[in-house]
Amino acid sequence: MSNMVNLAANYGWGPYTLLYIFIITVIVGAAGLLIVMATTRMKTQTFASKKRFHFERYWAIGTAAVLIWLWVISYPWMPPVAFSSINPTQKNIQVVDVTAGQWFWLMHKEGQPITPGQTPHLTIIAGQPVKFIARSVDVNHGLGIFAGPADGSPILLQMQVVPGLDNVFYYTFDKPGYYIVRCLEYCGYAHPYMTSIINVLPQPTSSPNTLTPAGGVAGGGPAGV
Amino acid sequence: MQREEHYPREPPPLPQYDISPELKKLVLMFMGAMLINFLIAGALAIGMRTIQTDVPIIKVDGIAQNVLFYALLTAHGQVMFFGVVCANTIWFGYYAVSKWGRKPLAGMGWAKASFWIMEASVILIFVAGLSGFGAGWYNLMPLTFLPGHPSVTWGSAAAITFLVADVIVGVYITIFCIVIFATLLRGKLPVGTQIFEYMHEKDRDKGDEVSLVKENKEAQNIEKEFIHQENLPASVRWVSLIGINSWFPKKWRDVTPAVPIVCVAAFVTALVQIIGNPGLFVQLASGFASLQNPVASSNWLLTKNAWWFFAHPIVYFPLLLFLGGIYFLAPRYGKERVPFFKWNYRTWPFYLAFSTLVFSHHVFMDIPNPVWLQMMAQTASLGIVWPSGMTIITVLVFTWRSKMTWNITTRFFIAGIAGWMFGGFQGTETGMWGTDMYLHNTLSMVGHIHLILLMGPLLFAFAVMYAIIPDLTKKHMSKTLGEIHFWLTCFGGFGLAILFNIIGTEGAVRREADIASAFHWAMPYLLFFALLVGIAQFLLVYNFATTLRRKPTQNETTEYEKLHSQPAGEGITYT
Ligand SMILES: [Cu+2]
Repeated sequence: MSNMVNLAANYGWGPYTLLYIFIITVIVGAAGLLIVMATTRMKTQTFASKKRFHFERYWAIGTAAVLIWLWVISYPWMPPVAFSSINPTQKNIQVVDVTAGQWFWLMHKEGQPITPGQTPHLTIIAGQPVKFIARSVDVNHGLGIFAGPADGSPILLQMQVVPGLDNVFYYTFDKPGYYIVRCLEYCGYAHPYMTSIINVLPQPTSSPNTLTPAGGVAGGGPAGV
Repeated sequence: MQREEHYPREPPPLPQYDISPELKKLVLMFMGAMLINFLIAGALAIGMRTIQTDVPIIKVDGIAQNVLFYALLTAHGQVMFFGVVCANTIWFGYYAVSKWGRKPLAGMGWAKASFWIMEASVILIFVAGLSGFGAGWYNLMPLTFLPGHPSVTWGSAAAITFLVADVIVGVYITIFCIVIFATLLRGKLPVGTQIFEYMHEKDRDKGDEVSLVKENKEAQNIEKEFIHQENLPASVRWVSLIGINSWFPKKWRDVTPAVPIVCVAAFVTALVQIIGNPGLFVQLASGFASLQNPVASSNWLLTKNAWWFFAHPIVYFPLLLFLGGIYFLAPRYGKERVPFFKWNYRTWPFYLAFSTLVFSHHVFMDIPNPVWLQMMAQTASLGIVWPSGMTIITVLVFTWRSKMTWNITTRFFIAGIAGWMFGGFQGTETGMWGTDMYLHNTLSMVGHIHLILLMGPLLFAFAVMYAIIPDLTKKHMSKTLGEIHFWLTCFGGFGLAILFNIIGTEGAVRREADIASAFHWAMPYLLFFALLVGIAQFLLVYNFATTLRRKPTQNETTEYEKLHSQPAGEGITYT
């Protein structure tokens, strides 16, 4: 579970961690209930126990409250909401055109010369928002970017690449380094080999960075913006 | 709780109504076909596990191996859905509305037809699989027609076979829904009122609690007075069958009729699915239209949404009916009756609403979807957790308050609730945008689906099989084989699901024939757990077959006759 813990740490106390705490609590509670059930022998149980009616009511209200709370804490993560903090007219947005097909990724940063066969395919700058515009030339694919170059790195972001549409995702890479790209939607027999690499370079110290949103959501949202 | 040593030698206190011999035979046919489909689809899974474990004997070269893997995956998924878990709902649905509805099944001929149509669809799915068809169980178009290299994968003939198989799936599920409607919406229904809550109020006034024994007697007397067959007017009937009346104010609730909760479950299941079915037909229509020119601009986002509009209800289809059945069958060995208890019924309108809308969480990662759909997705996904949590708690506290016996049926029910509950936590996680981002399309989802289908509804179905086979055949299944079947299935099934979950949470991507090297270590364990589940099912098949073939013993005959000569009202477990 080390990856999971790392991931939670990278993202601060976001819904991911909170949810696990919630789940562990409920599992412990449920296990306790089962143990009580298994060890208790009810002697006289009446239909008319007053507790029964109260217990179910409290449970109903309690679970509803927890679910509403989960809805609220997850709301800022919804892609359109998370992306809305990016100002589309912002000057330092790096626009990346992604073309997905059976079975390749073509990624090209607008303004950079196209160099076919170049590895890594895409070079971008850390700390500045990236706008991925992904299109598929054939079937559904899934753009999945992983938090590292190694096999078994956790997922950082993902989005379906639905054919016939512009699929747009904003993300800001905080750390320089290599990020592996995998297809996350089954697209045929070579689907496991549909990979690529993104090289994130450190931010040049001279470049003005006043428009980059900082802190807060940067650590938390799926958009990382 | 005491351990019952004599199971299965106890009279099953099911409703006194004896279903027709024709229906008994049909239910047994469905059970038998389901078991065969389960063995075959399970064998496909063993094939997938073997490929990923790199067992040298079946080692084939890369591309052929991947093509084989995806063909196995597709057939495994669809047969498990449409030949196994859906089949369970169909036999239990037919049985339940006749048994608890105390009336013959409407459209027996159609019910029989649904059996053969189901088997035809399963055979066609296999045929497509044999032709190499591997577009995934959810048949994500346009992959169906654009397999990359048709010469090494599948051609249009296999794709057409698969589309036709799914049309037939839609037909047999529609027939099921109509048979359930026809049975429940016409003629008389058993009806009671919320008498126990009434007693509760009365007792509270007295200021003391009455003993179980005394109350049981009282309850029986009142039951005789209040339970009757009634021809409900259409509007009242709908309100009762969806369970909305449990939300009425107390004054109205005391006078609104309550039908057995299993009939509510059957009605809601059929209603949800009949609403969802057009989604399948829209998706298939889009598929047939694209056969000529796959690259033509069909709206693939809409096609995908249409499929999930059908395919998420189909995940609840194997489940909901058994949730209604638990109230009767898990505590049937308990001494308490199922009261018309408002909280047991209050979940059903929510199941109806949310399982119709919950499909939309499959579209979280489809960014071009409209914002309202994304909103609805999270709302419905978290929304359906609420009735699920209510059902779990009402069943558990009800069982706890009973003098329950740990026999094979209750074991399967409790294990099924555990599996479904743990699967449900994951459903909660993936029902949220923030967490779905990391879990979607990982093996954690494969773990989730094995928890909520294999370790939930399928265990419930086994529980029901062991419970109602005496009613269908006058014979009991072997207890020893049943126990071994239970423990092996649980050990293997939970092992499989939990391991999928662990490596999925670590980032193992699903639907990769060639699994990332970081996760190779888990593959032999997965194969081992899958084999355990498979071996267990052979025991069930053997138990089932020998029970059907042997003659009933004297004890069994006596017991059966005693059951069906009970005075009216005995064993009626609603209101
Ligand atoms: Cu792909």
